[in-house]
Amino acid sequence: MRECLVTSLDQIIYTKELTKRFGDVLAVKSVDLQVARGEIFGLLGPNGSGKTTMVRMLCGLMTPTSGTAKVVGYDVSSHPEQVKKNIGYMPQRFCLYEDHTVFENLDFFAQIYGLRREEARTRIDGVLELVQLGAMHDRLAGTLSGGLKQRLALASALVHQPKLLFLDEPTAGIDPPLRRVFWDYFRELNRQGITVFINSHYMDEAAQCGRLGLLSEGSLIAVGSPKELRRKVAGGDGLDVLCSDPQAVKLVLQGETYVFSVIVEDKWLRLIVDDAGSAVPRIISAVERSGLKVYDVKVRELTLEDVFVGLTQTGGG
Amino acid sequence: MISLMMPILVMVLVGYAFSGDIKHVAMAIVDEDRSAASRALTDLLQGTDTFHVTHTSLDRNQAESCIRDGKVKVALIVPSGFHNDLKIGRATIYLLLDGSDPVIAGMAGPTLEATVRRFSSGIEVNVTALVLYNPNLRYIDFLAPSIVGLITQFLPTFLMAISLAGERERGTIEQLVVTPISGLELLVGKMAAYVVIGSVEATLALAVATELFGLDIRGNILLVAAFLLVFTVASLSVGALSSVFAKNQIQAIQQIIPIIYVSIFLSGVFYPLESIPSYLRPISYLIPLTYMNHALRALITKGVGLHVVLPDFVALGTYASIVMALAVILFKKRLE
Repeated sequence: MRECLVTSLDQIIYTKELTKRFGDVLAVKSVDLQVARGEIFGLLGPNGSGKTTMVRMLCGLMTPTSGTAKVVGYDVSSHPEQVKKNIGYMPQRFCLYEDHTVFENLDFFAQIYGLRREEARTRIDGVLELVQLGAMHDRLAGTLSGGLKQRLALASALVHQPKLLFLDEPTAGIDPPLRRVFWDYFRELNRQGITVFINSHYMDEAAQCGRLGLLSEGSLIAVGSPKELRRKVAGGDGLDVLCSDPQAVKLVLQGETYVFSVIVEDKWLRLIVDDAGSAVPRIISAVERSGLKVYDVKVRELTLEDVFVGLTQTGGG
Repeated sequence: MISLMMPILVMVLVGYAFSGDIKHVAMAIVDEDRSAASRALTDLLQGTDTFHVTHTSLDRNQAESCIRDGKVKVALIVPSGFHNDLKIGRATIYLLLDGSDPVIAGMAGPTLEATVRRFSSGIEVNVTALVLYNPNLRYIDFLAPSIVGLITQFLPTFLMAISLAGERERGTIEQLVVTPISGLELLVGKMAAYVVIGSVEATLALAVATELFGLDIRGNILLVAAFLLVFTVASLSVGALSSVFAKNQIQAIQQIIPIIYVSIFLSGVFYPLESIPSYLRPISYLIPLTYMNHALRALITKGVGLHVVLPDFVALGTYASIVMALAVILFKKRLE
């Protein structure tokens, strides 16, 4: 257990054999997870995979059955209040007071976190500006539209300047344009030095994260960047090539060392290559040298859904 | 389910609580005659259901303090010469009555006269009653203090339960639990706010009773305030506790209504505790409002000092502490 106490300063989340049991059910099984300061980390898993339990432990709301978790430098079991002071949490569901104004809601939370009045004013103005809600200052929270409520929720999670922000499926049920806006906010916060921890079962949301952890039935089965995870499953990057004579091109490309597999599908060639970035120019020159033509090359996005299915089927870690 | 149970519960409670017979009224006997006749009268009274002779061999002053301290509600004084007067055929006995309980004070005289008539057929025994406190036996003086207690019970209980259940129903509790605020702080914070509201409400109720209905607060107003405060905290804790078992506000309300009904009918709000059958009396003594009724009547109508109501205060304080501790523990557990 000694090594649990030694964490790098750069690790804002550090868990060692973190386990939570509810009666006979092991909700989280011996998870070792490290998240570095400044990351955008996504915890991905289907409903019931233990994501919520995991986050509740990391937020100091729930005591682990065994193992340790250190968040922002504090042990979640022995110093949950220190953990809570330094994190922000935006729940999936709108959880603010609808019968109070935007300002009153933010001011209430600022006071709970012990901000002084002047400080609170400045912070509230700052977060309202970030989420572009300044004009809604005196509106009742209950009268805001869904998207604006979500912005207010984000603002209230930020009012005390947390070092680490937990987002629980932050853009679930939000239309795509607004989802992009939210991701702009998250990246802006990240640039300001806030570590972002996203909890999600949406693959497109997960794809935006710097690094992902895949949780399945309480176990962390893989950790890595979205690209790394895709490669891990597919064994390389996917490329789709549209060309003049697919069968002939297939013969050409099968001879190239960086091409792992080629399948013809109608007019398209489906390739797996070692690295999409370097493979594309080499494919084009190889094909053209043989007097054939490449009309189009697309990086085939292996969805994280595929990755997830692939990893859970092989049994993972 | 609750709505089906409610009429049954209420009727059963009313039926048993107000079944009409007042029994075992605590009584003191001051025997100044110490004659065969006075002893015979004492024996006769000890044999009745209505009175329960708890204190004998006292003098008049001691009997009066027994009434003031609430140990007895009736004191019978058999004056010296009673035995001789009986022989003449015309005797007088005196009754001291606790007017803070007008129901019992009102029935004690006639009941005693009937009993004495059996004792001395053919001889006229004159019963002279002297009412201490509330000499006009005004029912409002009996009712108003317990209604103040009742208000102090149900408003804080409902407010707290509805507020906490509402936080859960609307999900705002989720945002609160991730803040550094602890379960205890959250409960105490809410309580502080509702103690203020509860105090204003109790004060209003008392003000209406005194200004409109001439209720006279004879005791120390600070003691009254202390009781209202501890009882408000107890009621708020009950509300907090019930919210732990409620998913939403409706459920919280449904849980509290039966508690309030049982409290009203078994604690002696409208009628003295002596009218509640003895087999239900143990339940009465588990209800905090019972202690509140006793203490407020003693303080407001009789103007007693702390030593009389101290046991009530200890009972209420203990109750408040236990329920609050339970509420805090279960509330925290529920948040996990």
